Amino acid sequence: MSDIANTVQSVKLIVQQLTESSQVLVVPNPEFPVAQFASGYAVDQAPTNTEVTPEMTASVEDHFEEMNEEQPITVEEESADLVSLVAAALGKIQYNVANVVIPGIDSMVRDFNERQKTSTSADVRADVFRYNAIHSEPRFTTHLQNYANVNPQPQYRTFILPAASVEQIIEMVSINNPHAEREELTEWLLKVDPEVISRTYNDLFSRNRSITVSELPFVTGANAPFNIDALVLAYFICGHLTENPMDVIGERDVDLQVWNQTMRMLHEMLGSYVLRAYTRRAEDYRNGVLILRSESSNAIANRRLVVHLNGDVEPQWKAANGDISEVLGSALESEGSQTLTRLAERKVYFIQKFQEVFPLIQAAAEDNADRSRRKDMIEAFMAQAEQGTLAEMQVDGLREKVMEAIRSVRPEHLCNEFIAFGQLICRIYFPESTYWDYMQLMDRAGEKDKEVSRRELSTQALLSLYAAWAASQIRVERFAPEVIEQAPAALEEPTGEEAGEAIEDAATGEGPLVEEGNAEADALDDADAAGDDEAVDEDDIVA
Amino acid sequence: MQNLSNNVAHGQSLSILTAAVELGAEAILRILGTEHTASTLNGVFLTKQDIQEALASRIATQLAI
Repeated sequence: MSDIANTVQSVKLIVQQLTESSQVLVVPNPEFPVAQFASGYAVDQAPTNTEVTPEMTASVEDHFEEMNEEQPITVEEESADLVSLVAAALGKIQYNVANVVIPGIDSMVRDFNERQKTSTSADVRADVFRYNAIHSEPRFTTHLQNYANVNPQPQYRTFILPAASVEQIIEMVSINNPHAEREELTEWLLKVDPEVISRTYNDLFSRNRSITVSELPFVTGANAPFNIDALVLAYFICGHLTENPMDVIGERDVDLQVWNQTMRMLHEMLGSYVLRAYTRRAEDYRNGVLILRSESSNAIANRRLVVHLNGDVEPQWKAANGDISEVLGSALESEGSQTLTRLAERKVYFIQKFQEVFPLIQAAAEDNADRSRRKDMIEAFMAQAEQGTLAEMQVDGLREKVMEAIRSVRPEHLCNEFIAFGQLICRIYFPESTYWDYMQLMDRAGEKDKEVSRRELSTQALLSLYAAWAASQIRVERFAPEVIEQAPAALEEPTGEEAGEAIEDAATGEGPLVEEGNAEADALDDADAAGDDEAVDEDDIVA
Repeated sequence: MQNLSNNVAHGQSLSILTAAVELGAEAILRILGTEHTASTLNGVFLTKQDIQEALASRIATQLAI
């Protein structure tokens, strides 16, 4: 079967159905690609004004195939150009969807889910605060007894010293430190937040020449014991500087004696505070203080309930089958410290309290997630739009465009982040509706068959996309069929003269009244006659 | 509503739908089997005839025929 015959074969039943119901296809604009492609076909325009019969439709189809079996080269070239244009357009959509839109959606959904985790999950936990081994170093803890009689003053003299990097500070503290081994000190400081290390040095030697003790964050009791690392670090820094004087910035009259005295005073003050902190630690252990501090103010509204457990006491509590609900319930009662004894006394109450409040915290977190959904979507979009292929597609005023586009995403689509991000990307980067149509078609094809690969979904979507595009150029119109009724010709009576001539002809062996005796010859004559009639009919259609 | 002979209407519809299907089938054949598009559906290799039939049916659905 030829190419055109194959194509006709695939459409003829649909076309027959149209003609039978007096409907015809029309392309309203001759510039449309389908109209241009169709103009390359030869079509019989001569009306036969007959009823719709299988013979009529078959005859039109056969004739159409016959006339278009071969097309002029110019028509073939124009058609090939149109095919190339359509293939390029479809290929571009596919490329952009596969390489830009889908990776964009995937990364935005991942980012969005991370943000939603924070928004949806309530921050309810118990953290264990453990002292570093350096705080139990016997050489150091014993030495601190030297500061037992020091009475710290509210203010101290200090110097403005050159800035020091975290590495330099670690080196100052760990080399030649008489209280612990270098490796031990380095290991400890590598676990301390570098920000804390820098800030501690700067609090002592970068602000001004006078220190108000109550303003030092590592000394303030309210931060204890979580500031213990900074406090001991400050003590070690001063110990190092006492032995290793530096150039002072902005002061010319600082001699060695002033330096030594200033540093020694600072060192002693810090030593006395470290001693107090360690004493308090020992007391907490003796008293069985399990909860050091809690963060539970407006726990439901803030969706946050955090308890800091004392690492020195926590093993005891665990060994006694401590229940996390009891410490969380206790935190709901008070943000201060709590002992094992007090917890044991009110264990049932605290557990019940937590079980009552926890569902409310969770519900508040879910409500917050709904409220934050749009916000998280915008932030995830903005964060991911600056990466990958989307980053190469510069869009001016992107945030405003995203905020405007998200307003037009229907609420039910916002519930599905894949659809929401797909719509946003298509609206902002590919405003032609074909992109979003193609995405939806892939989605629908995927819903029908979950096992199909993405490449096959793409093929399915491509077929549907083209069909929708082609159909958008075509209109179905009704028409009034022009059918001319052909009444059978009436038999007229011969005149007397005509009858006489006929009888005369018959007598001489001529005319219609002559009887032929050869039946076989008669049959052949009939067949020839029938063939001639058909030929005439066909000529009429061609004409 | 215009008056039309059935045979003319039939020929016109035939040429338009044939054009739509042929244009689409040729274009799609060029891009199937790439990194992004399979030349199979449900594992079965697609012939031009399969594509033509799929397009004819989907265009008809779009036109509510």
